[in-house]
Amino acid sequence: MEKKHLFVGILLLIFWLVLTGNLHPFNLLEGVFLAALVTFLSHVLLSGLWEELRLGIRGIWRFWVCLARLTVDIFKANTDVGERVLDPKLPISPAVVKFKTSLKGVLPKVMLAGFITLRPGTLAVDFEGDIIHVHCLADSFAKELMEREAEKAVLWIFEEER
Amino acid sequence: MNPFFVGVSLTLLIGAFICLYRAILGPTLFERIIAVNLIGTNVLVVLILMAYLFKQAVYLDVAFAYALLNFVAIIAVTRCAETGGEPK
Amino acid sequence: MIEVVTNSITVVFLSLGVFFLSIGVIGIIRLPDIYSRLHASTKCDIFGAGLALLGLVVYEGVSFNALKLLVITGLMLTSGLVIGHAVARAARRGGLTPWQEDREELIRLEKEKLLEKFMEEK
Repeated sequence: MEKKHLFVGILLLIFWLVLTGNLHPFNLLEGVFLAALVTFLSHVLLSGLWEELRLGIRGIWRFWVCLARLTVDIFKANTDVGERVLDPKLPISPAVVKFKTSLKGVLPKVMLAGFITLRPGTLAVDFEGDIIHVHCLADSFAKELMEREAEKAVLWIFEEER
Repeated sequence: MNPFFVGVSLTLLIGAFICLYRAILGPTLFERIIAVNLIGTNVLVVLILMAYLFKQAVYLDVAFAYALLNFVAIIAVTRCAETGGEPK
Repeated sequence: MIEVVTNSITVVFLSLGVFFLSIGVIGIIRLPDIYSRLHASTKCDIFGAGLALLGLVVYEGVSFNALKLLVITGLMLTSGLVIGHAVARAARRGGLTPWQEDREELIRLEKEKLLEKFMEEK
């Protein structure tokens, strides 16, 4: 019984309450029992991964700010894909570029891959150590990618302050 | 609002049927996977619209379970394809 | 009065969501290879379904079902991204090479044009 087990148990209990939707004492008791059971059954999964997934309160706040900023980019990306798909000539010239990142740890890399995918015209394909293979829909997007906007955003989220 | 919801549902269902073309004739396994994923998303939105058309909140739970199952199934099939579940 | 406003917001959001989902479907049919099809499917999947569900949240108002809809939306966003990355990685490790524009053909055509121009000037 550590801090992480308590955290995961409370998260599962909230999930149960959202799914069932009443606060009857028996329902609550059932939820506590099931959350404890699932936490016990999945303690093998939690053992190694927990240290990698650390993100402070400030980090969570900054993540939401970044997501709000990203909404404009997502809209641009969708309209761009729409223009290319609905054009009868299908104007694409794909290319695969390698992108070297300086980020360490699992969570920053996952977030970087997600940000790259949601930006216009780029799609993160594979990780090999520090190198991401990125598929671009046109050459101009590769140049945009090299300005490292996505990496700057992730660095801003994970700025150390301990 | 009901006629509008019916129209939206019909459009989404037509889209799901068009996806079936790629799911059946896709050259490789991965095209079939993403076609099935897109069909799943369309049907998920249709399920949630049905919850409002028939005024039954149970469909929301069905949609929840559908989304989770879609995710788990596709990750399992992809994993299987990556580690050699399919003969080459 | 408020109902008119929320209903029109719902109509706009749902129409946009259905439009982007349809773009995803058309993209899957028209684009030439697995990676560019993933471009269409991942982005339009996430944005279209997210917009449609947000429109329904506005229609529902403040209630317990709206919370459930929001949880489904979050689930859609994360699962769409993870599925896109998983399929792309499996495709690359399975040895599928991305489709390329035939650049040598383009360069040859360009050279022929230049040669013709040169001959005419002579």
